[in-house]
Amino acid sequence: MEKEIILEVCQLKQYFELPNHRLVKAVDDVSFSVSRGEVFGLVGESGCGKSTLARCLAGIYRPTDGKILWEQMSVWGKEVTRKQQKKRQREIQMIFQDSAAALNPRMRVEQIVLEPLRIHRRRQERWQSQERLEAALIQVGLPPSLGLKYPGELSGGQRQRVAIARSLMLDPKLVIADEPTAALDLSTQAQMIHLFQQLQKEKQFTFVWIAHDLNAVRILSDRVGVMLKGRLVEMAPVEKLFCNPLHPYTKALLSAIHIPDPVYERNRKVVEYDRDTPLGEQMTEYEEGHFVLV
Amino acid sequence: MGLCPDKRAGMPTENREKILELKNLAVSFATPQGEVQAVREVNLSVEPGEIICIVGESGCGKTVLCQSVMHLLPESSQIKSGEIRLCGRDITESSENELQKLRGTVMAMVFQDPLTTLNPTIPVGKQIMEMLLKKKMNRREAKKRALQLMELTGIEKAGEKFDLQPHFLSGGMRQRCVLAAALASDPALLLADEVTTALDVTVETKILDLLLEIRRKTGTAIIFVTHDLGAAARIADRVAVMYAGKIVEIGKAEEIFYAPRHPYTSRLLSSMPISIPKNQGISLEKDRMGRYLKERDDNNGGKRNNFRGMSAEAVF
Repeated sequence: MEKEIILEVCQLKQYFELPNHRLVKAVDDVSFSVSRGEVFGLVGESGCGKSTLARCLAGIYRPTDGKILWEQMSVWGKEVTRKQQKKRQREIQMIFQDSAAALNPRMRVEQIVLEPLRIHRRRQERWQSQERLEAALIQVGLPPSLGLKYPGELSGGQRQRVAIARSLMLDPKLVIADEPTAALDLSTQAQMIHLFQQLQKEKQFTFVWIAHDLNAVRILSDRVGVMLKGRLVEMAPVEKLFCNPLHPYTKALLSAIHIPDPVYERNRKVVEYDRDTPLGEQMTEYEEGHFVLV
Repeated sequence: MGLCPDKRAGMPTENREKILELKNLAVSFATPQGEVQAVREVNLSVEPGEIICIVGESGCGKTVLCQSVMHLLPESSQIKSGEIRLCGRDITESSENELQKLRGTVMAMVFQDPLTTLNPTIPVGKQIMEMLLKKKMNRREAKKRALQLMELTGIEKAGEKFDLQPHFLSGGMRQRCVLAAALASDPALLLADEVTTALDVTVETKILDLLLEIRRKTGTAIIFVTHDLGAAARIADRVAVMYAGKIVEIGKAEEIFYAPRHPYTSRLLSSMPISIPKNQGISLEKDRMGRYLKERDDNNGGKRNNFRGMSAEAVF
């Protein structure tokens, strides 16, 4: 079956100018594509531009240069009509890392979860929206009675579930999640990963997610991209990347994975990566679907 | 278990004096809804040069336990009962004055967030020196020692970084500065509360190795609080598993990881996804891991905790 490409990123550049006129190349010449129903993981150290890339995809930033094609249509540009933009905003949803900051503390959970419907003028009859709310909360594993609470009264895991429920309200085609599990503790992280796995299977949405827990990335993703200093340095199907990392940075990153086994851990050697080595120019296909920057 | 002999330095022997002893320690918070018992009847002893990891989910009382040792508990809480003995001395009822002499000299604590621990307006070198000047060291010596400490904690070009404010440094660097400040007075006991949680995996490993290195060089006993079991596996001599304010299981790292006895411990272990990278040049004994996994699976009622049908064995 030929995979249908739903999102295409061509030579995307996102620069920021600092007050002292220095230019920060947050995302620099990144190209990749995501097919429908795929789970694409992005990994890399903090400050490497993962979050900026995710925000570009969601249309939060206007890219400095390059193109983002959503269903063959440009995301930014003069030719994009207001209607098309609205449609894209409906189809692409984002989940943020810090759910405490992403949810309005003065709104009740029910208002938060139903807000997307209000914004996109999909307000239904009162009884119907109540039904939608309950269904939305139940699907993320929350009791419907939680609707009357404020975000401040919820635990971290519950808040993140509310954020997920909100993002799924409009049946999006693409969900972008920026480190959705980073602020949670171990057992809650495992629950979240299960929840994402199950929801993705159920709803068949395309899922682009950022993580720095490489164990979780391996479990959930179909394909993985590794970022370093704003560049995409390696991209491959998940097992190919973990079994045969090619870029020296990927090797260093993989060697830093923790395994809860004391004897293994004590003997584990970390591969050092010299960050002054110049990055390559071109993404080259090493084998089918496995790209490396050389 | 005796799965492997531990050759590392600083392993506790029978007759040495204990650095820290907690006896039936109970701490509770007064809330409008009533009393909340954050730490319940905890017994723990730490020997010189030992690294104990305290693991558990958030809210289980790990941090409160550390705070009560340092006597830095929030005002709404109090030590209900029990005893804290530091180097054989009972410090449960000590006055603030006496405690202030102990903090930073006999015991030191490193907090989770290096950004809020450091004063943003004071150069990092000066903050490290602060502790040394308190010990009546003269300025020149203190600066020399501070630079040494910065180098010990792996800060390259310490001289350049000495006069920088914290915001010029990365998270990992900042955390190293905080560690350097904590180590300034050669504490016998170092409490590290989630020091690596906010850091990247590659930096995290470096900080962990640094703690091991510090233990080897100075013989400091370390209580390392974390919820990352992988990190615990790397540095712990002993692991204590906390749940709802109690230590539910404590033992050597191998015992806890290979043969957990308490159902909570095995559940905690099974919630951690495992993927072993191939081609890393690390020899991994198949049997040991296999046995561990089998035991783990048996504990889960024969049900494999594999996601997407991927098992750790399959990666060998």
